[in-house]
Amino acid sequence: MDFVGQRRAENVLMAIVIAFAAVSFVVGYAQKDFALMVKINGVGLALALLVVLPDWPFFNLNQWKWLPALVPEEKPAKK
Amino acid sequence: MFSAKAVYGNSARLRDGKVQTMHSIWHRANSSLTFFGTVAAVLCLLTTGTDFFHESNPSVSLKLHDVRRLVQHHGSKEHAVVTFDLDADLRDVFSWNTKQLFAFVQAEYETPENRINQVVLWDSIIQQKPPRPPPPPLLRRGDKAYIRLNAHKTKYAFIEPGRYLRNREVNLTLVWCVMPRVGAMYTQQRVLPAGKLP
Repeated sequence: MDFVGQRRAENVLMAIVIAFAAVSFVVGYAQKDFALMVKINGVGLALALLVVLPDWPFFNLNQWKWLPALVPEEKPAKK
Repeated sequence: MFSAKAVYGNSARLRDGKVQTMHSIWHRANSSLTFFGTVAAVLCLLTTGTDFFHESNPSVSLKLHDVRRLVQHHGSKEHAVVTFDLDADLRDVFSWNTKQLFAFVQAEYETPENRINQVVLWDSIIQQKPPRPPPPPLLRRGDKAYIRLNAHKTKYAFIEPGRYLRNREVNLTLVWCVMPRVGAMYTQQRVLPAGKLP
């Protein structure tokens, strides 16, 4: 991943995990079902891993432009 | 949200200032799982916080049914064989964060030697029936949280190590410990006077 892609990956990871955590808490509390909260969280983690772990093309849109490789100079002869 | 420099120092920084934080799959896996763990911990704190707002007022009726025997062993221990009636509806005590209840009945009395004496006569672990699907009448009959015991024999012997059970004023107490899925356990009880032993 390029640098912009890495930053985006980190943001997407946090957004997905936090969003699913919030939804899972509200739904679990409303349905009085602890297991449901755990399951929704699990789905959120799975989705986050799916989006963030593989090196998808949309994380490689800003390729860093490296300078061309230098040829090592001859060492100047001493004295 | 998290400053890369604060977390990674200078080791992930290229010479021109760009920072690599998610450059390998292992890096990303590590970040994902630890972040998920932290968020899950926060959810657990919130969940145990909801128990603070959980109120319940179960109806409890607890009395001595019968005193069958009151004997003395070897001149130094008194043993009362009793049965009791217990009618307690503890279903409302369960919150979404409750794993199980531990309920027990104890007899309390005061003797000239000790101000407080407590003897546990019966206990039970009560787990919740799952809320869904809606329980058919058959399941509701098996809901252990609605305790109905009539003329029930005590599980444990009612033994007093002295000679003080005769004519003793006794209270029967139902105590229940609410064990959560996450967080702290709390205990509630009802004390009901049960009259005098013969």
